[in-house]
Amino acid sequence: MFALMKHWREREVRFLALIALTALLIALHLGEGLSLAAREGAGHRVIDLKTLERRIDAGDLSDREAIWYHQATPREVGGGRP
Amino acid sequence: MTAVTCELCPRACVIPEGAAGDCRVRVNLGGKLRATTYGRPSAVHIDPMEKKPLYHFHPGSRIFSLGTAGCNLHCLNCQNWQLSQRGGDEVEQTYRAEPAEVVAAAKGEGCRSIAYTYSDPVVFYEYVEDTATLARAAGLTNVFVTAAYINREPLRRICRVLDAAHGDLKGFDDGFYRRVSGATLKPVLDALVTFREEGVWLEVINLVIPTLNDDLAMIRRMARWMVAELGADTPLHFSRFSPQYRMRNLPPTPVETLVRARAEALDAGLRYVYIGNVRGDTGSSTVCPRDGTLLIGRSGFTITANHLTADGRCPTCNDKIPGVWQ
Amino acid sequence: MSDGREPQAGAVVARRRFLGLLGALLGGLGVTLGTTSGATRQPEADVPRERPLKEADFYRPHDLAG
Ligand SMILES: [Zn+2]
Repeated sequence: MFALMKHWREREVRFLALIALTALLIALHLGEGLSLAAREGAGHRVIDLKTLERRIDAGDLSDREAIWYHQATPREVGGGRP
Repeated sequence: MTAVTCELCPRACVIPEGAAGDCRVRVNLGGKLRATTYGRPSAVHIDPMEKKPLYHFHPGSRIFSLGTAGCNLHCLNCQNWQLSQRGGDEVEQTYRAEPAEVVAAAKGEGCRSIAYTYSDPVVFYEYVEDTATLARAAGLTNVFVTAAYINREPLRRICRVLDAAHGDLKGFDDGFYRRVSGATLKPVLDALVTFREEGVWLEVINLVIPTLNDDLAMIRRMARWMVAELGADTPLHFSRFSPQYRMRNLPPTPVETLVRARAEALDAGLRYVYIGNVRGDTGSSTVCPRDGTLLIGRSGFTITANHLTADGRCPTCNDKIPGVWQ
Repeated sequence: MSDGREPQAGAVVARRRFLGLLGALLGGLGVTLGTTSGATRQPEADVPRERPLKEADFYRPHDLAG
């Protein structure tokens, strides 16, 4: 391994650093999604919103308002489920 | 970003804009929670009443049954997962059926009742309420087939338009509920009591899964709780597990286990205990608890004998048999 | 890696290796983009998934519980 690295040029090292940075950014993005889900109470699901809206607009699905809900309080949004 | 908190079931999902509740079908669009499967059932069938199973409610009749996508439970052994564990735009087909159309179709087919079933009617609550209200006005009865994971206030309100409920008590252990269904036991027990308090005819089903909830001591505790809180006249159905969905590693429940569970529940004081989902007719008939007279004989979903009097009494001792018979 | 070849030959190998790696990465990116665009493709418009109730066969055998 180290014998191999002896012949690396600087630009190759930079290139690999770019790959590592990309991997790190992907990991952070995924992690952010997870922590967001945890913070909001983990009681919701991310859905294919575009398809849903398209089907509602087409009349395939209903946008009937539900009865049992209220606007989330700051404590509910920040606190998560007990 | 306006998040909303759903008050329907004990999950109390906090739903950000553009996302759905845990049930997949109650969606926050623009800060308002929408019931996206309202009027859009994905399963509509006419079944025998005995299939729900309800044994003490209009026996031998056919019931117009519907369910939409979505569920607030996620049982590893769900038999209807293709309906219940999918959102409204993920199921294979959907019908357009506004409440009035459902009632008209049920009447047109000669059904006397409508069942809200297959997934869990809790998640299509508004659809149930509107349809049931119209159905009642049209002289039909309403049956709610549910896992009873719902908050007390919404349940009390929907009970006003329900005639019967089939409650699924999946096990008498909170840990079992958490592991297998992703839910908790206490709200289910409270809901079953609420059905009784609100005068809705209630039958309870317990699916016995080998090694997970087939402990006879637990079954006895469950039966005792039912006697104390729901009354000894509440029918209990033990149902046979078969490997499904994400629980294919366990064998089907041996019939002997169900027979033992039934004996345990009868011994604990319940008076009408049945065995379902098995070949043969073991434990599927209604007999008079006082004198053993055969009241209703069943084979599968078929009524083979009905000796109840016109007003629902035992022909031998004239005791009133609890249920809705006429 | 000292194989006794001329230094220029070493540079050719390094360039080849670099181009190979670059090719693999670009290829991987292409495959990823191709598959994800397939996953989010809209369903065909000529397959109606929502039907009027009167088209339902209420008596069709089914294996739904409840
Ligand atoms: Zn009798």
